[in-house]
Amino acid sequence: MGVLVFYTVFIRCIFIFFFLLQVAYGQNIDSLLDRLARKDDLSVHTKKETAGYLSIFTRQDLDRMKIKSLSELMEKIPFVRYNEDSLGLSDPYYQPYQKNNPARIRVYIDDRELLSPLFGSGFQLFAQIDMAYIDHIEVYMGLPSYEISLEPAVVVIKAYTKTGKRENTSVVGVSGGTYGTEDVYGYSSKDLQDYSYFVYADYRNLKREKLYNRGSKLSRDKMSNNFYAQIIKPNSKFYFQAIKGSMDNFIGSSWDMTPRNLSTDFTNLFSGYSYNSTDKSLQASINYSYLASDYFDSSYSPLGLNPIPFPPYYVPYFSNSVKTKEHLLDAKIAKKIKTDDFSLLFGLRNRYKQFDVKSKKDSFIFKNDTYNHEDVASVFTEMDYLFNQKNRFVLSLSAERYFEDGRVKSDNIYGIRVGHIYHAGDFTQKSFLFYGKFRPTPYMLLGNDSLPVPQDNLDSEEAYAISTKSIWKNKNMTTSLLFSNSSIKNSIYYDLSSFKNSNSRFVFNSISFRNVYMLNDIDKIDFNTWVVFEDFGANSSDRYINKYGGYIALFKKIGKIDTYNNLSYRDGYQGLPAGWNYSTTLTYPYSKNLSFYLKGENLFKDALKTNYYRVNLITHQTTYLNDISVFDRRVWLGLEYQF
Amino acid sequence: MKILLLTILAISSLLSSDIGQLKAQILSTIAHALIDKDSLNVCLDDKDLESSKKYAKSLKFVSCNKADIVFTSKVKDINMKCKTGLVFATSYYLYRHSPMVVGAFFWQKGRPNIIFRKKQLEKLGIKLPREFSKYVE
Repeated sequence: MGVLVFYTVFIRCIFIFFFLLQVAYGQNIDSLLDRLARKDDLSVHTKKETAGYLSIFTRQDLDRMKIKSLSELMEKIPFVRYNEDSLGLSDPYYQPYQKNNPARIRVYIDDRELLSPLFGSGFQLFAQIDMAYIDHIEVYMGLPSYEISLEPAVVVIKAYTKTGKRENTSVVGVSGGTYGTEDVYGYSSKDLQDYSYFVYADYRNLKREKLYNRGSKLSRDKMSNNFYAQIIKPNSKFYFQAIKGSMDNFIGSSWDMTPRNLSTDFTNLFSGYSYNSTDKSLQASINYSYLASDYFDSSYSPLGLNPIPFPPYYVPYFSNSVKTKEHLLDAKIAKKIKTDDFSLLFGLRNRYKQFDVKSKKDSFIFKNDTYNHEDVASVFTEMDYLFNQKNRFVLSLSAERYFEDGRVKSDNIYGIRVGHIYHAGDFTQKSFLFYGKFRPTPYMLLGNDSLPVPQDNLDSEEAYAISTKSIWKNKNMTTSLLFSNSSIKNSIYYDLSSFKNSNSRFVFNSISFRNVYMLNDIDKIDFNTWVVFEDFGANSSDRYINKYGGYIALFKKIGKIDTYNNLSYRDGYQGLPAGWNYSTTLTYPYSKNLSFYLKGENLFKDALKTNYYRVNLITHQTTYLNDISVFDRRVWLGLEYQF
Repeated sequence: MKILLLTILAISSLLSSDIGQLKAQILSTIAHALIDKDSLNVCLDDKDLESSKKYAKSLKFVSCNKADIVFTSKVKDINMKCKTGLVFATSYYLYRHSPMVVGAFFWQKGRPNIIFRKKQLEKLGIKLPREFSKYVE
């Protein structure tokens, strides 16, 4: 009798336990599909855990955020803030009068690098345009593997496009926002058994908050038309992309910040083909980029000085027209040999860059007739050895030879990266040691070449980094702690006349903590906090600077409404109060095919700001434009219809 | 019986986290929702779902002509040899181009999706559990 009672109670307990679990997990076919969407996200197939310290913004994340441009994500990347330069272009490391340094952030779309032959990184090409054709984004911190990015960078952003196989639908999206911003996009995609296609088009008229200085309008508006098409077969892929648009260039070069007419028209074309063998052991790709821009700046105050052969030897100019045409042919082949516990990757890459610059400063015409191309041949290898079930070692080596006419100290660049990964149960420890060089861009070399007085040859920036990250992962929670020590020697800076190498060694010590807690299959809380201790050397007036940042984000479905809330924080930036950026998105699925959303960015209008200044070299007066928000307070209202 | 099987599948899926396991759970759930039998003979002809075979304990994998239900992404399977059992597509293309297919499990708009064809369900006299009603079109 006792046994029977015990058995009955036991069975009931089991039933109640599983019932409660069912309630807690909402366990049904919906839940299984939700879980598969998360577990089998495209990023699971593209990410490379051994390549570095990885943060992923999955398709679900980007959908729920209703992400409008890459700039929004910058405040979710540790040790980085989003910033814009005096032309209104994205540059997280902007300092007045300093030029964009491409070695800091590089951007890839799928496996092709967005590269401007003249200016370097393509971050500025991509950061503020539409990205509804992007499936997910992987962010590799701390000089990742050469398999990910051959040219070293502090942050490598890999954006992966949507694919026909995973879309299988046609979608139209329309949205409008503050200041009269408009955005319309559509895409069509299908999996047709033997191949899949994805075709996308977007028109965006991004209107920004207008500022005024002495009657001059300082505008950062941007208009773009983006077309992207790809065909994917089991072993190959072909794509074509065209981006055409125009933008207003904010302050430009005007010495008193009084631009009269200031804008750039641009046309960018990209096309390429890649091959991947079925077992992924052979990869080959060829990509072509054409970038053309037409920049015009006229100002009520001088923009610069033209040399003349008689006293005072310089005369100010008030208009500047710069036309650039850039071509890039990038070919790569890599072979991987793999056994159970060892893999060896060996690759060759060649990038041929051609650039034509024609500028007219009042009547003074400049053309880069003598220095107009750069050819970079690279060889790289990566060894991955699984010592035992818990320990893995990685060694990467690269060598690059530059063929060009720019005045540099060395045409050879070498890099080495050593890594150890320990994995046992719920715990993973990743450690990497990196040494490499950041080459000056052709724009920097061209700047020095064009000066009447010969300059010292520029040297490459030299960087090393040692870092380790501990990761604890269980069913619902992932916690990580990252420590990094890095140093840059020969840092390149602009001294208002030419580019030079700094004599100081810059040292950065960084700590980042992150915790992601899954509330259920789709909802989560994501928390990150970080600090960087910067030492700019004894020669610097502000030698020690500590910067802080982080965010807390909640992805939560409430009834039918999908909500996203994020609060980002940045502090320690010179002369600027702390910034708090609160963003939110509410998505309401009206039907299976139609959804509406409301999105707010920088709603407190308290995101980290930027100070700009310009010096008039004739009157010696400095004009300041302080506390400028690079994130506008913006509300978007939009809908998306699926056919 | 169908409800009991679905409950057991749902409970066991609490413990599954691997992609292959999840796909196996979904295939099992679909198969048992369509066919009221304890043990099902299934033909699976899709290399993307191959990894799920070892996890689908309630399904017996057989050749196409012996199957109660066929999961396939290939048109030729339907035209040639798989005329005995139910056919459930694992690609949207096949679902759109083969009216006899009873439903499909495929990716759409970046997430996995299921569709059941109402006309085919009625023709075959299949009544699905209520939780599947929103997937019928």
